[in-house]
Amino acid sequence: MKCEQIKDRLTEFADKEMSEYEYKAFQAHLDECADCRKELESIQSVLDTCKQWKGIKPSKDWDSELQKKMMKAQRPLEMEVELLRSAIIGLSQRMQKIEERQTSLPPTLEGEIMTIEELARYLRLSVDKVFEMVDRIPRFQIGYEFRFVRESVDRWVMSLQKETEELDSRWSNWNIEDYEK
Amino acid sequence: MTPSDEELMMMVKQGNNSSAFDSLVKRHKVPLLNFVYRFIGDQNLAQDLSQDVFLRLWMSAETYLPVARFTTFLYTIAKNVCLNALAKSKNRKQTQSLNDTVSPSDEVNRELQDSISDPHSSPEDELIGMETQQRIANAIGKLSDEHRLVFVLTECDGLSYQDVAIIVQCPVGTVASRKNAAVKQLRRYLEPFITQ
Repeated sequence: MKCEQIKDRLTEFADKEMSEYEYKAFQAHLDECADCRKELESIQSVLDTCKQWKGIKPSKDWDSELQKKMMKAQRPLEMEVELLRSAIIGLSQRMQKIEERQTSLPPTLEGEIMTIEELARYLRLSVDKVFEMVDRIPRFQIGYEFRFVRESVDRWVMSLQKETEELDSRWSNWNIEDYEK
Repeated sequence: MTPSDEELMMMVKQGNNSSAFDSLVKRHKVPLLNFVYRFIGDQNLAQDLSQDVFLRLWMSAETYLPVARFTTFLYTIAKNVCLNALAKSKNRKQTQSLNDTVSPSDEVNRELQDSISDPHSSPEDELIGMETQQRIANAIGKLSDEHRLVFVLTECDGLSYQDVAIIVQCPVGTVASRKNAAVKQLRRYLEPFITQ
């Protein structure tokens, strides 16, 4: 082997990072070549010098700091679970309130004044439907708000009932006459 | 029989085995801390970053596969943490345009104070020692990131060129040539002081 090839890989030799076969070949060359030997010595002394660089010790709070960081890294998951839990509780509370409101609406009293929503409930109609036919329903207005007195609504409903009955009988009369013809 | 690093890491992976993780930390924290210190060159930052390395080890335990030595897994994380930190500090330096000779001398002062309080050695010996220490630190600090990484890795925790090749993700031949180049450069900086 030529000196140039050897010199290029003396660090590997010093680190013993080559095959046994190569290592022996290098060793044989170095035994004979003073020049390469000198080169190896100076590489070795650089490596040895660098090994003298004193290391540092872990700081006193090294372990506790690591613990803290691990706790912190864990926290987001726990927080997420906590957030989900409170969201679920909040939702179920709201559901409960809505249910309560639906079941425990105060019964309509005589002389009571109703809002359009209450009237809709009272008539078992949708609010939209009530709005649609609002000019046929006895009502009074304050500002833009409609209010309905229960008694008047009742009377109106009765009249509606009568109307319907009359219509029915007219229908049936008409039908009979029709059949008689 | 004491379990190997790889066995311990598999225990960490499989469940919340904190004692397995603790023993891994105990085994590797000093060499790892010193790898980070040598690569980054800042004591306080090294303490902080070495904790981050173990934190990331713990968090990425799920991805661990025992195909290579455990140390290659650990030092791959360490390399990434260090390179990120270097990139960050370089960005900061660019914006602040600070003189980068400030931190090494600060550090030497701190070491000096530490050594003065050591009762076992005479101050003169220590001063000479300190001078060498500073020279070594400066010389290694002057290497390019690429060369310094390979040099410091091959000199720590019993890592072979093969291990370093896995960590740095390059062929073994490249590790050898980088180490060689690093040693060449170090000779230029250090030789005038060695031949005394």
